[in-house]
Amino acid sequence: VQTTPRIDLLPVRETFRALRYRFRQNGRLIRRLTKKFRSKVPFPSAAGKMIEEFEGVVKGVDKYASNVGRKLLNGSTEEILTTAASLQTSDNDTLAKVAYSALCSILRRLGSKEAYVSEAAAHKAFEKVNARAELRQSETAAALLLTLLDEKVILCSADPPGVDALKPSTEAISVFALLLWMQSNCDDPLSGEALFAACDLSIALRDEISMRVERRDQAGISGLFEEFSPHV
Amino acid sequence: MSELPLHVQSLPRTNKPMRIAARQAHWLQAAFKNYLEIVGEDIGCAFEVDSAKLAACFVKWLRAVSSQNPKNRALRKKYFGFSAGMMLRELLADMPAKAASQPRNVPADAPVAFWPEGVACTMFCLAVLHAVEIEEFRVGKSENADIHDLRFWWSLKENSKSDPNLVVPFFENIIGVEPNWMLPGIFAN
Repeated sequence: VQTTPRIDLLPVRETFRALRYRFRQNGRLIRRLTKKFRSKVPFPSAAGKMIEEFEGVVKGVDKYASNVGRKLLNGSTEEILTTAASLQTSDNDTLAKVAYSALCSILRRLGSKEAYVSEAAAHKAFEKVNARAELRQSETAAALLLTLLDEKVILCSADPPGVDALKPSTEAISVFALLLWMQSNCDDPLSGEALFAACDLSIALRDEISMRVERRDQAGISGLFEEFSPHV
Repeated sequence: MSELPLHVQSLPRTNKPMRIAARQAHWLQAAFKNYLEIVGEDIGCAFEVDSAKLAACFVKWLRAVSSQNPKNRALRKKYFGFSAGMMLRELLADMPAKAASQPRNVPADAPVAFWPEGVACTMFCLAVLHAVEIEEFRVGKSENADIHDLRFWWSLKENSKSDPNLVVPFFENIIGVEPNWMLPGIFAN
């Protein structure tokens, strides 16, 4: 029986997202510049028309990226977040996909619009830290937290506006929230709220998280997970 | 305050025992926001809820009550009342809710007009406690008559500012438990 070979789409998704990220960053820069110059350039004029055309190009590229994204990424963030992902039992592909979607939601919640999340980095981290039977879930999660950060699963190109208090650990808090949520196993009618609750709890614990991550205190991080994962 | 219903039925559905759900941030956040929306409709004023502040209250509360859990089944009922009082202590100290306007549907001399956020938070703690007690002991608490008196709320507000721990005996007074004024915030076995 002939079977179709499984195509690994992760590198394609990653490359597309990197491109889209650059498009959007440049688009924002062009919008800022055109806004700045609009007031100085008389309309209608040749220069004014050109600025208008630049804006049109930015809008077009953004629309194109969104359309390609919908086709390529096959499924919205919300759909992926309803997938049950367990640190102990899920495969690395599933964990990396869920981590990508959840981190995007968490960063939006934190107000970080310009961060780049790497599914490939998440995949690599999940491969490196295999859940071992002798480890408690919280210990696996603590090892994963440090590995995900080492692999640079989040690149914050700019600090999110309005969350100065989170500096310099937006990445650490976001990844902590992700892993706290993944351990929570919420199964009630409000489980959709659990990701945001994990995010808010992580903000409340930010000083402790930052301190333990800076010291690479794996036992301390594991303790925090153990204390709070039943309470997400 | 007694004119306002306790709205226990407005608490979100859960497939866990209520005492467990109340110790989960996602349930408590949803319950709090929903509750304040309903109270806001009753009294004619919207509340804004700060989720981050609410989560910080939850973390402080969880740590404070977990460290004092007596693990003695005979003390459970008393401990639940104490825990609800401790939740009120954290809410009043860090106040995650803000009334957007003066309540329109209540008389100007009503306690909830005097202190909308404080009364709404107290009612929330009473409602959750009531739901837990109905489920665990088949009986809910009755409220003390003092809470209809504006002076009670004035005193609670002033005392909560000077010493947040005093909120706990005030709450114990509301639910008809002997208030522990000597060591407020400490669970007395």
